[in-house]
Amino acid sequence: MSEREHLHILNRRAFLIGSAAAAASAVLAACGGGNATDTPKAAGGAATTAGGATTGATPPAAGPTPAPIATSGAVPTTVSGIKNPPQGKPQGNKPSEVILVWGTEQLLTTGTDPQTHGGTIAESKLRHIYEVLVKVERDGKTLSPALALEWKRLDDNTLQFKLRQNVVFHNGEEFNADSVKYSVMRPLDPKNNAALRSTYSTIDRVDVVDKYTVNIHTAKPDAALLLKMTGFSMVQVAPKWTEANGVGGVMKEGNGTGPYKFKSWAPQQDLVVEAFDGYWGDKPAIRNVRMKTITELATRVAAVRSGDVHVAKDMPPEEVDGMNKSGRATARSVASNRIPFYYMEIRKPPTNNQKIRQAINYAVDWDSIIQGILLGNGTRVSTVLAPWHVGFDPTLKPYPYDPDKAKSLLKDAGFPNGVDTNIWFIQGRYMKDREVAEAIAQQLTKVGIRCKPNLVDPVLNTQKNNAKEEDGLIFASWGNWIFDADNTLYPLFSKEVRDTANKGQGTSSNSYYNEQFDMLITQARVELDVPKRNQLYAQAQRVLFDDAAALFMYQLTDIYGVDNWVKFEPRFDEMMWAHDMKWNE
Amino acid sequence: MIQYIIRRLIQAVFVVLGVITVVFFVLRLTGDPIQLLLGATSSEADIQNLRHNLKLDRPLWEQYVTFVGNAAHGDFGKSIRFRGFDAMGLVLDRYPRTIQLAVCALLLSVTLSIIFGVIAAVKRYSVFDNAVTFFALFGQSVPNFWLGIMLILIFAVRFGVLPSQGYGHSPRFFILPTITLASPGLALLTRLVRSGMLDVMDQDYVRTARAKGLRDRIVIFRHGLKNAAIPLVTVIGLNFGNLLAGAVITEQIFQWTGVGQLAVDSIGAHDYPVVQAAVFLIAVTFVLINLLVDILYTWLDPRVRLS
Repeated sequence: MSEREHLHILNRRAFLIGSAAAAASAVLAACGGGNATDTPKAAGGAATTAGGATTGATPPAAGPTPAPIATSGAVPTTVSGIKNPPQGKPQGNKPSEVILVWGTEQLLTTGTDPQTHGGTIAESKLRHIYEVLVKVERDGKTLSPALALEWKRLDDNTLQFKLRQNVVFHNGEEFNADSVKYSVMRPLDPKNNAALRSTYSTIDRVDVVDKYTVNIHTAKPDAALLLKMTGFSMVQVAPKWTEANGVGGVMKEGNGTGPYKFKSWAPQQDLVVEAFDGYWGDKPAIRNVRMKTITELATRVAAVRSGDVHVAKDMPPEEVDGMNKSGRATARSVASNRIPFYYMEIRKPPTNNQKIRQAINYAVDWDSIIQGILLGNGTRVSTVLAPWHVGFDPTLKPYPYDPDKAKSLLKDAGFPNGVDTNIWFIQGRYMKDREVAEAIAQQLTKVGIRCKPNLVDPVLNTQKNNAKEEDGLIFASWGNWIFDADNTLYPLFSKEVRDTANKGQGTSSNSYYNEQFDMLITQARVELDVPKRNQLYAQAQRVLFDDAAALFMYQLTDIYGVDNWVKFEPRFDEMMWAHDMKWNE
Repeated sequence: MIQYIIRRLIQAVFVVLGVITVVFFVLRLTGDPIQLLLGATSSEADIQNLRHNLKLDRPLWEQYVTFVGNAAHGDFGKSIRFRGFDAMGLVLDRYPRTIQLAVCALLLSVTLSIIFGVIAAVKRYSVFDNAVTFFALFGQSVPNFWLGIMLILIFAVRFGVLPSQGYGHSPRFFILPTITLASPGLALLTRLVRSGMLDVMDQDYVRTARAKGLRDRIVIFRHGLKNAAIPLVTVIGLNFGNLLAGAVITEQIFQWTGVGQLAVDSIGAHDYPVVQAAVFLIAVTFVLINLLVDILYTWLDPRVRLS
């Protein structure tokens, strides 16, 4: 789903209550729900779909990195200091398979073809079967070898990978330089219509040096290239099998090098995999895995509490206590890679005024919203980057809550009697999205920014956004799946994206332009010197912050329900992998 | 009789044609699947390409004629959302699950409503009668998504005796969804049986039967219920439509992978072929069930002649 799945997604519960339209949105989400406002091709980042998927932080650009491989399970979550309660004792008989559950179906359109999807849920599921060359560990800071053993930058435009030997795909086909060349180029072929194609548009060719060495070449320097190689589209597929089965076959089955092999799947039915005996790495502790979708939230919670399923994502915060007391399951939380925020339409009054935009940022009491509405499940951020993103500036502190300052800024801007504006939002996609929006509207109104709440259906929202009918504050959310500042700042706030979004027609969301900011992020894209690049991003964040380009909010906390039979510490990249789990025996 | 059935079948063709025509045009009023299928990063050429491949670039009337022509041959096209999958194939895969659920709910509601309705009528104004009236009212007023979730919380979460969701071959999977789906119909039918029985039991022929010294059981079932059942059969036929509609919500709550759930998701994605195939199949089912009900009439009430 989309990095910015703006308001579009479906809301099943709403449907149940009678709204057919909401149902539509579900599909949207599944499809990768592109928001119409989205990024253009070739804008270094993100596409419509996506949704922050893959793992990825890294020791910036280049260099072979020795790789301590994190042990699976039980690594304490330290990011943002969330501490999870000790796990309870398992009840009943040991399950014969682990059942993983999500609330949205993403294996749509292209089914199980891994290289075409952009959503994190599709990625979670399919990366049981498929692997990448380089992976990011759960600390978000360590890159470690997966199918590539080492890598180095040969020159500004070339990254060389030495491959692991004696690796086979599940059908017995050999993994080697030729298969890497095929796998890297496949999502770049426009006819495959890969959701994240634009992210990889800098790659112009792959050279096979010898059987186990490849050079990936970019048309211009791409500082984030190594991190991009950890991304979902770069999973390795078997060339002969893929060609022989045609697109139809790849969409209905699976054949990778991963720890699990494909067993069965049908549209909107469970994806079932089992451990692959010929796997090159450590065998997974759990042999059989079933991955399912339960769209109805109440049912999903009940399924965890009754022990019918074992790990479920997106549990509501108010269920945490109940789950912990159930004796069957424990709620486990982690700061998420996903960051919601509100764009401000800087071409229309009143948010075309920088002072008013700053006043908006001072006027919202985030601590009370995070505590009162999210029940503590959020971590304030200064802009739209998370602490583990490459280029994140830890010295920049978030706007404090200061209603008096907000009022005086309004006066300075020439509006002592206040202003009128709108806030546009969706419901049901992210934790308490509607409640938070209404709280923002109330708090802004209190300081004199009279803010009208507009709850919109996701599809309608896209239409309005594309027609540039929205103004004021416009909801968006972004999960940066390669953990590099480029893949947030460029797709969200660059001039190129503003000018090319919605096929060049523009959108309400993509209104931001600041010459200095644009220069900084454009330079940083091709700057291979790490400290220099970080410096450029630090400056860019400062400009964005002072300009109050958006209403900056928080990182979400992801809450999982985990059965006491399963040991699993959630990852902040939203990946839920059975090979990261073991039985609690 | 045969002539009647043939005439009804011909009528049915027009009913189904009407239904799918309405669905065809209404779906196309609700939006374009292309934007949902392709991300925002797609180019104009990608969009035109896909539109062409899916034949969405043809004039609407041409799309309609092609659709009806193909549908007549049983070809509903390929799913847009699940590329490579036949639309009718996807629907048929799930059809047995929805029918199983609807039939179980029908059997449950008919059996229980007859038992409860008859006892309530025979023991009029007793505690049992009041209790039946209360539960009938309750069953009709409670929204079934609420009932379904309550049943899950009680029987799956609290007591752990039944599965919380999912489709399975074991009867255990059927219990909660069946109760949820049956409850509104059960309530309605119970009230109907009760009032029908009360009417019939006051008739002269019942009094005569009693005067002849027939046993209560024979009076109630042979003379009472058989006559009271006539309006019941009509309602059961119509109620089957409610069951198919209710299945949409029940399937959603219980993650029961049936036609209802597929149709809802497909509507959201503007997956025209799948929605059309699903609606077609449901419409055909409904029409045939009602034909069956009319035929049943002649057996129940020899005064009715199908002509």
